[in-house]
Order: sequence, then C-alpha cells, then structure tokens
Amino acid sequence: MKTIPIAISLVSLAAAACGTTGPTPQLLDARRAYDTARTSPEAQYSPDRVLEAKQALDRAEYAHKENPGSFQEKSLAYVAERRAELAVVYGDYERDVKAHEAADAQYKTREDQLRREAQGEAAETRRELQGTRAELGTVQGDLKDAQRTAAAAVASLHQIANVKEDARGTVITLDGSVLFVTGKSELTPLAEQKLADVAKALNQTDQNITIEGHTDSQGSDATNLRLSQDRADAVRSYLVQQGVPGDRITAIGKGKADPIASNDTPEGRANNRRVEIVLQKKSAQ
Amino acid sequence: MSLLGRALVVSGLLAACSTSHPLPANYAPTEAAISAADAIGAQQDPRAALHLKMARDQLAEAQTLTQKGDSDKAVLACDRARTDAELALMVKRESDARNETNQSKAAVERLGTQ
Repeated sequence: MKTIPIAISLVSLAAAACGTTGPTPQLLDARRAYDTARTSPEAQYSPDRVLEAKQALDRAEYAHKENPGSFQEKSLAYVAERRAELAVVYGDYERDVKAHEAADAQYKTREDQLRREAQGEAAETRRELQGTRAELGTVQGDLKDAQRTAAAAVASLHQIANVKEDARGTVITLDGSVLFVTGKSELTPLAEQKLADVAKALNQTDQNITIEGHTDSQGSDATNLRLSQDRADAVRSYLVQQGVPGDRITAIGKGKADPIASNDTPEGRANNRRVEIVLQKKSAQ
Repeated sequence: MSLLGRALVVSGLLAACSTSHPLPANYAPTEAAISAADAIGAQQDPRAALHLKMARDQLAEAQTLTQKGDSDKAVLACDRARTDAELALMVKRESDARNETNQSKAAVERLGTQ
C-alpha cells in the first residue's frame, strides 16, 4: 500500500514545519509586552528599562532561532516579558515621583503665599490698631481738655453765681443788680463778661435750658412781668451769641411770682431781683 | 589541549560526579530580590503579591533542578524568579509612590481652599 509511506511523509513534514517555525507562546507574549512598553507614554520616563527589555527579547529571539521551542527560549522569553512589564511600571513610578515633587512644590508655593497674605493682614491690622490708638489718644486728650474747660467754667460759675440743684435740675442764679441797671433790660458790661463764662459752661452740656427772669414786688405786676421777660430774653440772646444753640433755650418772665426771699427788706428784694438759668434734668426733657 | 583546558575539563568532571550540587551563581541575588520585595510589603499589593509568589515558586523549581543536576535549567529558572521578584518590588514601590502623590495633591487642594 502506498498510503502508509505518504502518511509517514506528511507527519514528518508537519513535524519539520513545527520544529522550524512557530515561536513559543512565551515568546509571543514577550514580543507583545515589549511593544506595549516601547509605545507606552510612560516609556519616556524609563528609556534604560525599555532598552533592557529589548536586550532580553533579543536573547529570547536568539534562543528561538538557535533552539526553537526549547526550555531556554521559554525561560528567556518569560524574562523578556517581565523586563517589558518592569519598564512600564518603572515609567509609572518615575511619573509618580515627578508628580509628587510637583505637588510638594505647589504646596510650598501656596503655603508661602498664604503666609505672606497672613503677614500682610497682620501688618494691616497692626497699622489700623496703631491708628485707632492714636485716635483714641486724641479723643482722650480732647475729652480731658473739655473736662478741664467744663470744670474751669463751673468753678468760674461758682465765683459769679449761686449754683444749686433742685427738682428742676441745676439752677444758676445770677444777681439782677449785677446784670442790669435798675428798671432796664440791657446787659451791663460786667454782665456780659460773666455770661460769657456761663456760656462756656453751658456749651459743655447738651441739656435744654430755661432762663427765668424774676423781679421784686415793687411796681405793677404788668411792669414786673414785662421787665422780667425782657431780661430773660436779653440773657438768652447773649448766650446764643456766645454759641449756645438757640433751640435749647427757652426764656420766661415770671415777674414777682416766685420770690426766694422776703420783699419787706432791701436785702430780700435784692435777692428776688434775679435771673435763673435752669439746666433741665435729662429725664424731664 | 592546553593545561588550562585540561584543568577545566577535570574540574567539570569532578563537579558532575559530585553528589552535592552547588546552587547557581544567580541564586543569592534572586533571594535578595525576594527578601527586598517582601520587606517593602509586596504582600499587601495584589499584583506585587502575585509576582512575589511566582518568584518563590520558580526559585523552588531552580532548587529542584539543581538537585537533579540540571544546572543550566536551574540558572534559567533562577533568572525567571529574580525578574518576578524585581517586578514585585517595583510594583509595590510604584503603588506607594502613587498613594503619596495622591495625598500630596489632596493636601494642595485643601490648602487651595483656605
């Protein structure tokens, strides 16, 4: 029969074909792995490792050429595949390290920026605080000046007038004989001097003021009432001239209605001829 | 044949006849690579752990081949084991570096929002 030799020949040919061609699966894997490593974006970070993978693949290819399908080919191909994987992982690692360094640098830059901002804000706050302290010092100085002025004014008031507290408030009583010539409502030069001091004191307050004119009991009621009103108005006008706000001041003539002493004696009548400047209590305003 | 050639042949014969088979020269670096991968914590990363196991298996294969007197194959197995150990080491290092990078980026983002 001719079939047996033909079959034997075909098997021999197939065996020969398998023996001379066909890389092992390990070598095919190694080739693929190398291609992946060579073309991967990470390869730029690890050119030396890619070269090592190429050299390992070359050794496997040589073993395949010299002794195809051998243990050596398979082993060297296995190593070549791992070398290609190492090249990719090493590239990943180098990329990570660079990203880490960049992030650290970014962190430091931002930290420095925040520190500078904080220092700037602190300096600005310090400047504002210094400004506020200076302002406070000025205000305190002004306040002390005002207090000194007010105290001096009150002291001078005590020298020129009788100052007392009653239900209406603080009452400054000025002697009528000092302020006016008998029967007249024009202020004497001495009166203007005294009232200028009173005005200084009143300008230190913000209370409403009532100026009351009073006479003794001599003369008619109508005359006394008119005279007391004229005198209260004269005092009011002068105080307004001295800077006391007019809307704070009310002038009232009371005639002989509210004596503070007996009208039977010259001294008593002299006491009743007076002008009272009343600083109303704040609660009464 | 030269004196040196004869000496090499004799020593080769002596080695072949010996009952104890010396480990291949690349055995120590392979063990060192496995130890390094182990020390860095390759077991904690799945991919690195897989390559570490393959390295150990192939080192055991190299020892078996050595005992059988097949030193050529033992050397090749040892090379395979060393490459797997190096890969395990590198995979773990890369994983650690990636985590640290992510932490740094997160820190930058946190700082950026202040």
